[in-house]
Amino acid sequence: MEDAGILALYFARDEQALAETQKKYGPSLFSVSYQILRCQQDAEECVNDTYIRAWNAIPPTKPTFLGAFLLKITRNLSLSYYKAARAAKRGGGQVEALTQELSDCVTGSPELLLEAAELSRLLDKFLRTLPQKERCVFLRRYWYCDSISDIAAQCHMASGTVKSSLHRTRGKLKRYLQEEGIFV
Amino acid sequence: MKPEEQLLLALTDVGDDLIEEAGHRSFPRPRWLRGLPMVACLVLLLGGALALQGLQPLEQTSDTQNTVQDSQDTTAELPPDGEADVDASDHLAQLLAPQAAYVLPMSDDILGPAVAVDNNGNVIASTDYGIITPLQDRSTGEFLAMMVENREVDQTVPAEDNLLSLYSLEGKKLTDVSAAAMDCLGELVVVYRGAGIDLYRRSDGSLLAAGLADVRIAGPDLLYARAEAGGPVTVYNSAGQVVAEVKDVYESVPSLGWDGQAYLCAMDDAGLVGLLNSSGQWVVEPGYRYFYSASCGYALGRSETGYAAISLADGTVAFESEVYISSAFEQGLTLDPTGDYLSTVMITAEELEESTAQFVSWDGTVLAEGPQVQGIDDEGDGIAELISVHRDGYIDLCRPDGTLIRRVDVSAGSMNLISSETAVVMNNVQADDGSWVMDLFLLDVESGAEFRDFDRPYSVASGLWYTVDNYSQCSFSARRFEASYRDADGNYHWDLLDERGKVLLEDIQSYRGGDVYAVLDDGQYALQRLDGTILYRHGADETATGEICVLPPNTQE
Repeated sequence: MEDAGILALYFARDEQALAETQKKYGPSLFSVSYQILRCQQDAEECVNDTYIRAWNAIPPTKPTFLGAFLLKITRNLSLSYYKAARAAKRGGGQVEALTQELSDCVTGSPELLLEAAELSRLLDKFLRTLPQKERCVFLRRYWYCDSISDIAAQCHMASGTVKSSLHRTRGKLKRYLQEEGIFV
Repeated sequence: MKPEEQLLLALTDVGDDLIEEAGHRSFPRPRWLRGLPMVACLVLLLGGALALQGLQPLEQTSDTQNTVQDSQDTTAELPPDGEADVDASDHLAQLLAPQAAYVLPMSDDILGPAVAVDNNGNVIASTDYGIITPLQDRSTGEFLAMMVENREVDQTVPAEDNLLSLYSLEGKKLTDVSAAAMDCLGELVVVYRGAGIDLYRRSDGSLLAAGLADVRIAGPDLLYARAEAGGPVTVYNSAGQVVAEVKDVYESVPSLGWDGQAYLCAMDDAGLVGLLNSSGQWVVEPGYRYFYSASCGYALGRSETGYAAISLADGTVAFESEVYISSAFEQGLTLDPTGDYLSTVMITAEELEESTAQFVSWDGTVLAEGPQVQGIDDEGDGIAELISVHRDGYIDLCRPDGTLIRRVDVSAGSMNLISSETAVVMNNVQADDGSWVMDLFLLDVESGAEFRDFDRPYSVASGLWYTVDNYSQCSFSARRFEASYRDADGNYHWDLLDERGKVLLEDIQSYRGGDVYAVLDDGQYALQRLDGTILYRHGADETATGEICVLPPNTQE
């Protein structure tokens, strides 16, 4: 079903909206969550929470890109779940590896002196300066938390090429953040 | 919260359109790259590519500057906007791209029977005894024609009246040229003759210079020529324009290549070397004894006081060292006291024995050191994926930050890298019966897993690395390796295997370009693709006698 049709069901408060959402986006929502949490049960819980939050948010929210809207909810829930799980010393996913990689982009201060919303805005601006392919590889890795080999298969690249691309982009991001004065 | 965790979290709220794009976009190989060989064939059919039949002496003028004449567009189709830059790390994809033609030598010697076929396996040209060489435009890689040089048996050098027969890629004979060899760079055609070397303009066949002492193609857009031995050097670009005149070129390493560009190691009147680009501008001003390599966007050279890595972007010195810099990567440089022959001649044996190679970061921090240190760059893009440190009896495989991944025992043998991810290890071990056998296995660098489940008793293997182009000193991994075994009759065979140990091709003889190898197929010479299909098998075509065998005789020139 097209997004417009699914949204219409939400607006009509027809619970068929959830079934259609699950059918169309369930696998990709689960995939993003599982990559972060690496625990089927926790990932399923995050995805179910996503449906509830979407039902509560739409209406009045009418997302232009329904898929991205849902994925963001899932990602946020999963990262919060991950923090809680890490505190309880259980579970484990790609997050450690991803933050390790992203540490290439930071320097100086132990904490970024910046509001989260402003950082998101800067990251959005940075990403739009990148060539399309490089941007997609970066987001598949750090937004969708895909593995290197999955990205390589999807983008018809060698794994080494993916790693090289990510390395270059992290370098560019570091310079960009320095120029923006993010680091003390 | 750590800054990197903040970054990861903040990424969540970047634009929905970016998330959607990344979620749905896939990237096939560029369409223009796939179409390249076919366009070259079309250009020849139109007759605009090569005009050697009517070579004319140039009308003499006092103006020595050769201007680019307007010409019909004979170049290959340019890539569409937005896809102009092939990712430098797609060298492997470019290497495997189909060629317009392939040459199959049918003997173990340089001279012997040979055949040239097109990409569908149709014979273009053949010789009972001689050499077949493609005439390619070295600026684009286009195949223009096949050159057949027939020789008498045991004639090892070209005769004074040597003839090259040129055939189109459809097998039609174009012309005979009295020459020992020919080459082409864009608008420039180089004809090597006993009396000297002639330079022609391709679009109209006019003679630009005759009887030259030396002509070399130094890059995809660079050619230099000397009218007389030891004389000044004229530098041309591929459009046929003279872009510079210099005193001399450093002959041991006349040019460097990086990222598709070539730079001429040109000397000024004082004998100091700088780097000249194809516009005739100094990218690095003369001031060095010589240059010897380029990597990661830096030229590596010897100054009066030591060694330096100089940026090819702006000519600034990025790193200086008293010790030879063997290579540069984004993460650092490898320094090797024994890398430069001259420096090793000058130091004592004790100094040499105590010398240590290093991998250092750009601020000079030593990240790894040992008797031999090497950076492994799978893609040829200047980013090292692995650092190998060779010690006495073992090899340390490290990440570029110097952390050890694993140590490999080679006390009874050796190791060869297929890529930064896979090595082939060969150690002599004693079997139960007391005999010595070779224990050859693939090693997963990261996990340490070993693979020995080969169908054949391979005893030696070598990873395949190719230079990114004909002018660069950088190489990339083909992610394949060759391995040899001895059959029951005592004959040696070479197979081609992928990084997982799967046999791709058996009994390979030589790599012919694209995805094609010359192989022995049931004892017959053949051209075989990596997917196993036979492109051409000798013996299938009975008319390979030095005459064209595709078109009837009355279509010949």
